[in-house]
Amino acid sequence: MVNAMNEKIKNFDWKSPVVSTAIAMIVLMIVFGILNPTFWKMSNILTILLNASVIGIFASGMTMVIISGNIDLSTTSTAAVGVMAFGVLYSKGVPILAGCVIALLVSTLCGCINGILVAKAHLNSLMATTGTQLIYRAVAYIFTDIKTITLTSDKFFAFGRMTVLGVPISVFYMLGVMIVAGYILSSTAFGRRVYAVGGNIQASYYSGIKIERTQIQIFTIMGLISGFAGIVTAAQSAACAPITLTGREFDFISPCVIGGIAMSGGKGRITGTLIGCLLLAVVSNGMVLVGLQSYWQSLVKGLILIFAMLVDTLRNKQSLA
Amino acid sequence: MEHLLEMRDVKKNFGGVAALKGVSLVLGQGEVLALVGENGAGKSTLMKILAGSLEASSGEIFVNGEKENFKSPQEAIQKGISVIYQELNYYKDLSVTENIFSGRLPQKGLGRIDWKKAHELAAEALKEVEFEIDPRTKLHELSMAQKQLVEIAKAVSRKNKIIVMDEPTAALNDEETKSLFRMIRRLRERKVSFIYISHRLEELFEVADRVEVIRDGVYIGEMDIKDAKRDDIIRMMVGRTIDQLYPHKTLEPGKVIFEARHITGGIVQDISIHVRQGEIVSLFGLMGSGTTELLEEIYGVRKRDSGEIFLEGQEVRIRNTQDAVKNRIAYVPPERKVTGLYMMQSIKANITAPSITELSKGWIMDKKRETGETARMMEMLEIKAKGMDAEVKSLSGGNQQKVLLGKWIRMNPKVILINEPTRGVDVGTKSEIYKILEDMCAQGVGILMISCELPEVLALSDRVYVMCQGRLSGELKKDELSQEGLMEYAIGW
Repeated sequence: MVNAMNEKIKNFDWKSPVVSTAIAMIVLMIVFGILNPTFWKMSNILTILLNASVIGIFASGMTMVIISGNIDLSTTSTAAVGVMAFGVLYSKGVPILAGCVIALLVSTLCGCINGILVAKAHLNSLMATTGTQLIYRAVAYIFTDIKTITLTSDKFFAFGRMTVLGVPISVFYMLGVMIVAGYILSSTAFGRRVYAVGGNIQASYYSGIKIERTQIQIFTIMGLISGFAGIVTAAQSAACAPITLTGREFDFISPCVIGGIAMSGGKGRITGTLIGCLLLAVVSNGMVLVGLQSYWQSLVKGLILIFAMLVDTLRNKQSLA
Repeated sequence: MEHLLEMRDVKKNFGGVAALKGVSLVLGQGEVLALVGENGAGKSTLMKILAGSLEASSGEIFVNGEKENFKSPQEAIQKGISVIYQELNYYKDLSVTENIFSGRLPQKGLGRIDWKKAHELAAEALKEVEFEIDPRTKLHELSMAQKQLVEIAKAVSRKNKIIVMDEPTAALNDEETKSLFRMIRRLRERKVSFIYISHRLEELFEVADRVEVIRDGVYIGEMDIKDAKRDDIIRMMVGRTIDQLYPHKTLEPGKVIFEARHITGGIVQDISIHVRQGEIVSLFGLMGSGTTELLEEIYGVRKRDSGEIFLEGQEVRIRNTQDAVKNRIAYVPPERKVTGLYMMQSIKANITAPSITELSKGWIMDKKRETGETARMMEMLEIKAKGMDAEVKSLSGGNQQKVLLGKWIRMNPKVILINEPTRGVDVGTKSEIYKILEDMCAQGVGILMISCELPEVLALSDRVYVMCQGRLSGELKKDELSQEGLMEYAIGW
């Protein structure tokens, strides 16, 4: 046992992006704590976690998409379509649980369409999902006639807002989705194919891996996760708005990149994504507490993202030689 | 006597591998020099050095008696050297004029292009190569032969006096070939000199003045074409002794395990072949003969128009690579970094890639078996690495090649299609790989191999199918194998 532990410690990659991101996060937390002691209060830590939660749910799916060598910019619109489907059903008196299931199915279908465009029609995923992002968003508006539907069900509130042992339920949703996504990536045959397709699509074809099916599955799962994140968002805000999450597509990509998921595909772990999410949430929260305006946040987040990509590029360049 | 071009004792190393070990060459004014050698003899490397796209490790180049040291293709072009590669470089959506004058279109004030003058100059250059066409025509509308003429017109328009042509006739039909030769003769009268590279020896007697043979990066000899005999040239190209590199195979092949009937598609024309258990069968052919195409059509990477495949006497449907893998046909591709390996991933991920489904229980990977199987392959193939989690790109070329083999041996293939089994690996690893192939044979696997290394083909093969221009031109048994024989069938004489 002890030997196995030692072996693990010896083999641990101290230079991995997960470690450097975690160290950066801890340093920032110390700095923010010194500048404003409220930062370390339990309530603030919980706020940080809560802010990270919906992003973390989306980012779990995005991790899979990026590892497969693709990108999905339609996630927010996919979520909005699901949310509006739920809203319409809710206002027509359909039971909440049934509404949720249908909403998830609708979002899953959106993801599946993305997958078909990428796998079967061989569209570049960046452009294909930029297109569907616009289309799905429009569908969300058309569905509801541009109206926001207010939700009044206590049960539904509880789904988004209750706490367990003092911790917001969304944090558990995030951890749950991350654990499942992490397990899929690390331990299933499907996960192996995700890494293979992203690592070298030609070699995967020569190895007899079903590339098209794998790609469709990945985007379909991304759709399902987007739908779930959308419902959590709706429950948190007690409303179904067609404008939900507009313009936040990149918020779920940044944490992946910061956490060392290679944009070129085939490399990365979900723990990196988790730490990336937390780091960004810490930065947002800390900067508010220190009293900086939101444009400063935007500047700093941008710098972190570029820095993370530079680190990634430099690591890969080094190993080319 | 002063030559137009002289290359003296040119050497070139790639890493530890010596591609050229000292090759010299002279070219007189208005002379056509044929440069011949097997694939990998160093012709292309030598020409790339002349073209300025590679720098020699040592040696000297003189043009018109002046010592040159080309650092870029532009410098070589300025000194009058044009290289026309087999894969032509052209802009398919631009006009003939733009292709001829790419980067140097005549201008008038304010950086505007003087199109009238450009087309006139282009027409002039085209006239020199006797190619009558509207210079405004787009390149993609032209045939291969016509594109080649545009390329030559480009060289002529630059007043280049040395033109290198690498396998110019590979994509031409007889008529086009004849007209190319007429043009070469005409330009030769205007004191333009050619270095002509071709596998088709019969052409040399028509077009060349002199022939130089290189082999394994070494100058072997030269002679006037008048004094040259085809057999002499072939002997000079291939002659070498085979040492103890290869295992001594004693196994008798068993029953037929693999058969392909009437495979047709692309360049491949109605080819039927078979492989027995424990047999190594080679497909041999020169560049453009269709050997790789045939292998890839069998494996399902390329679409074939027709043809059936049989395993152990049963017909199997192979429409894509998944079908092939399912039927336990393995294909080891020639470019391990492109189509073979996940360079950024672990040895384990690479070795298990074709076996993901087999190594899982339902949806879940059986990690114990994954690890066990990887360890078994690493031991069997003696792959040297820090561990099975080491990234493949951190391994030496030889070990990478072994990982590639391990990936396919792991899935217990019935047939291994292997394309260039030892490309870019050192001699030690080569002999290890030969041993592995022999072991596979002992287990009843059939091996269908392509290798551009003749000695490898001769030493390993129980039988060789020779292909020429997409057709089967010969079949040789082990005791009939000779380098000259293979070459004769491959050249199609």
